[in-house]
Parts: sequence; structure tokens; C-alpha cells
Amino acid sequence: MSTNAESRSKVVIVSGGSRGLGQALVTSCLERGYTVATFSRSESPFVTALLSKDPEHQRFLWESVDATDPAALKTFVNKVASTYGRVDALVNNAGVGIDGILTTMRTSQIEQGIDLNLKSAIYLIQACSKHMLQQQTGSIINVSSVNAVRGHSGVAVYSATKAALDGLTRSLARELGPKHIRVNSVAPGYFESEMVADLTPEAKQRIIRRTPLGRLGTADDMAQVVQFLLSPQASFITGQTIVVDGGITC
Amino acid sequence: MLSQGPNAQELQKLVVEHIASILEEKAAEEGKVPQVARENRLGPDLGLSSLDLAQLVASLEIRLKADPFQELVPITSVRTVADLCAAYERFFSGEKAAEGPSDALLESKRRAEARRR
Repeated sequence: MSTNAESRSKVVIVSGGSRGLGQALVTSCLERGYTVATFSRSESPFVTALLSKDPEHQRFLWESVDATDPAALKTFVNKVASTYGRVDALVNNAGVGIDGILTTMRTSQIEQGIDLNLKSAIYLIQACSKHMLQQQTGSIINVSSVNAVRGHSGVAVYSATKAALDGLTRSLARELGPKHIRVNSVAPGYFESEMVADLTPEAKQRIIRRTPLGRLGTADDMAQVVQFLLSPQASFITGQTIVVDGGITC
Repeated sequence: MLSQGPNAQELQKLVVEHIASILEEKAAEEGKVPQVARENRLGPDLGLSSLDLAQLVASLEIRLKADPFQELVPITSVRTVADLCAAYERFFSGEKAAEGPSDALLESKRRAEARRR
């Protein structure tokens, strides 16, 4: 694991860091000494607490940003760069579940899912890479899903957006590698979160039975892998999708 | 209305400085720094790759708060240092992008079709 000394000056942007996995990612980055900038549509109690601890934005910045607005995303990234002088890493975490049978899904739901899960990640990478190219270093992590790796009924559009992120990861790794910018995906499996909150106890037990490691994941399990990919220990890893699912897809 | 911005001479000086900076970085790896002139072709003469050009345009965007390639000028039309300077001159002249499918979009489609063939 990286030490605080190694990562103290690094500036990480985490999209959708107000709750859920984003909250765990922000927390783990702050614990490791990173400076963290995040955005979401609305302020959560988690964000409020962090802002009250750091009102001068010494190491934490949050703004309300509509992730479907490319200009707003670019403005946010440029504000982070001007506030802290650099952008070292981006974790594309913001996203939305898109459940339903495709045949009967509303066009607006499809559009919103693609906008939030895919287009926002593309525009954030475009904005951040401009700064990373100046620094000749950087790390980009896209939060994908096991749904990108295995097919599941009722999540076709969600799967498409996450598989697209993995394709983006591989091509960008080749595109940006010559300038020492690494791009990877982390594909979480089922973990304790809003994603599994609506599952019945029986459905959860069925998932646990099918998981070789015999439990649901946690947000911390995902955050640990993201921390590894951000760290110097992963300096020779790029273009990869790391599945963190207790073995359920193996 | 004209945009507030640097004049043509200032733009050329800035563009050449930024190109030289990237060439010096590359020289650390490759060991030679070519002199930069307006008529130089970015790739064949100066040895800039498309990613170097992206780095150059990003650094100029950060410095000038200007991105002529988003709507006004297709990046694929930039071959020489003079082309690059002209793109920024057009941006700061206040020229608006033409309506309809952009040259960049048409050029992108042409390249995609060429790849399929």
C-alpha cells in the first residue's frame, strides 16, 4: 500500500463521491493523504461533514455538478486544476443503475443511463487528460461492473454502458500510455450497497452461495483495489479490468 | 465583435515556445531538438506524434483559454506550424463555426470508412 508520504501531494477527482461507493472512495483517498475533489448533484450529510472540517478546501473540494452537462464537467476539472495546481488521478465512479427489460424501457431512461454512465466518464477523461498530458503522468480508473463481463437479464443497457467503459479503458491505455498516463477499470461484483438493498434475503443468500469466497463484497473491498491501482505499486499496470467479485464470474 | 486576445505575432511566439518545450521533453528521450519554423510540418519535419499534438493543443488551451478545434477548425487540417498559428488567429478573430456537419465530423467519417476498407 502507498504511504501518506508517497501520496500527500496527489490530487484525485472522484465523480459521484457523495454516497455509496463514491463515499468509500473519497474516504479512503483522504485517509491515504490524497487531496480529493468530488461532485454530485446534491450535497449529502457525508459531504456536509467533510466541508465543515475543511472549509478552506485545503484537501477536500465538493461542488454540485450535473454529470450530463459536458461544459459543467470541464469547468469543474479546470477549477480543481486551478485550485490545487494539478490533476493526478480520476476515478470515474458516478453512475446510475438502469433496470428493466429493454423492449419496454423508456427512451428517456436509456438516454439518461448512457449520459450518466458513459458520456460523463468520457468527458471527464477528456478534461482531465489535458492536465495529465502537461504533467506527463496520471492514473484514470473507470468503475465498471461484473455486468460488463457476464450477461444478466434486466440490465442490458447498464451492461452496455459498463462494457463500453472497459473498451474505453483498453483503447485509452494505448492512446495515453506513451505519456505515462495509466487507464484501468475496476469491475465490482455484488457488494453491500444500494445496488443490493432491494434484493430479497433469499436472493442475497443465492448470490453468496454462488460466490467462491462465500460472502457479499463491501465498498471497502472495491476501494482497496482502486487504491492499489492509484498507487506506485501499480505503475506497470494499464489497460486492465480488475474484477472484484469474490470469484462469482470465474 | 472581436475576442480579446493576443495578436498574430504573440500567438506565433507562444505556439513556437510550446512546440519547443515539447521537443525538448522528447529530446531527453530521443536526443535531438529541431529548430521550429512556420513552414515546418508538425509530423514529418518536427517529429510530433498525434499525442504530442494533443499535448501541445491542451497546453495552449490552458494558457490561452482557447480551443479552436472544438468547433472552428478540424484538428486533422493542421499540418504545419503556420496552420496551427492560423487556427488560433481565427479563434481570436471572433469567427464563428459554420452551421451543418462540421469538417471534423466529415473527416472522422472518411477515416472510419477508410479503416473499414
